[in-house]
Amino acid sequence: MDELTFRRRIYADPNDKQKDIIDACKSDSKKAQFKADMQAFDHKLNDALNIEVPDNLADKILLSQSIDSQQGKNSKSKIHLALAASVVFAVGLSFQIFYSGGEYKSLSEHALAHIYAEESHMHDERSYSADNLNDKLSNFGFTLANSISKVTFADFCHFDGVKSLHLVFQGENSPVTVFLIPKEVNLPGQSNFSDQRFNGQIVNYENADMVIVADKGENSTKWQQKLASSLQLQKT
Amino acid sequence: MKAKQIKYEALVRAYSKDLYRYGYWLCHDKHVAEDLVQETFLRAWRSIESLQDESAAKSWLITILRRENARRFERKQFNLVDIEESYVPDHISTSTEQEMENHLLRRHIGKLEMEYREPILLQVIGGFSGEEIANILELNKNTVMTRLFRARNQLKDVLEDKNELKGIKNG
Repeated sequence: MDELTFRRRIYADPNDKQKDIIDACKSDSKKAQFKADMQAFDHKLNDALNIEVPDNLADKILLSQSIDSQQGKNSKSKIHLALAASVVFAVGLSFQIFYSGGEYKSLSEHALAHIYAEESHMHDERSYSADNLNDKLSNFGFTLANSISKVTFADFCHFDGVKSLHLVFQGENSPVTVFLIPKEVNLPGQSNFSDQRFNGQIVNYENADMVIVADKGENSTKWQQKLASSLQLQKT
Repeated sequence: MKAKQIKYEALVRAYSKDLYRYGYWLCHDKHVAEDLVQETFLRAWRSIESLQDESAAKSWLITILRRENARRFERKQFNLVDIEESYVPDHISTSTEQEMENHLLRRHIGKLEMEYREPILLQVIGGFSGEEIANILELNKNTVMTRLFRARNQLKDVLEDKNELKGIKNG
């Protein structure tokens, strides 16, 4: 190996262990010396590069890693929480859309829909004592002054999410439904309405609306008068 | 999870010092070097699954650190510090011959062009072969060997000049 190539190789890598370098050193003591000198120089170079490393560097790194993975976990649980929250929100929103405002734009619509929906459950006739009825009516500020007809159903129901009272009286030929709906419901309603089967009236009281729905076979005006005279506002 | 943590700790213990030194000689700032190493190991932690071959761990980490260092320059325009002015306090007056050489070498390593500096740092600090350096720096091996030759040549001259100066003074 010529001198120049040898020197270039050793300069590039003083620890070159390839066979041609080793052979060259064996056969030429000057080359061996040159290699040894360069290795000594590399020691100096190594010393010079070997600057002090901050204390506990490894521990600091491990600490920030553990903080980082902790934060990772936290942000994962935040994501889960956010997901859960948005699911709840979406469910709530669709519930609102399905069950409120969106579907019924007026008291009359709501009342009719209610009657059709519950018709099949209304076959059992129950009997209610006057006290029982008055107890329920008092929630809406009413009292039953005199009995007008047999009450076959009296229970609370919900109009647009507001607790209301659902009463069914025995009519001449068919049941007559009366709803007492607190003003909070705040759905607009014409005083008279009807569909192919029912006639209805809405009577506005101070603290509630009364919706009377009767089969077209019933005389709903008569019912309205009867109810007006017997369902009275509670005296306070 | 546990195995991942053990593997990671082993990497930190084995390579953080060399990485710090490498980082320091890239940027010449102890704090920046520490940040670089921290950031390098955080990134390594997040993608430790991608390290399949453990024998490649060191060059993998060096590659992350180099990328981090490059990103540092993208992030903000650094005021390039004049090494001669800012570099290490001078204790030559009270130091031994060996310390003086150390000082001279350090000063000149800092002055080496990056294209010469990086290969020699990888060789001396990292203990990488010419081929490995070529892979890390994405150069061909001949180029790397030429740069190593030039880098060492320049640094060797520094010490020889010093000896000559001393010779003249003494003579």
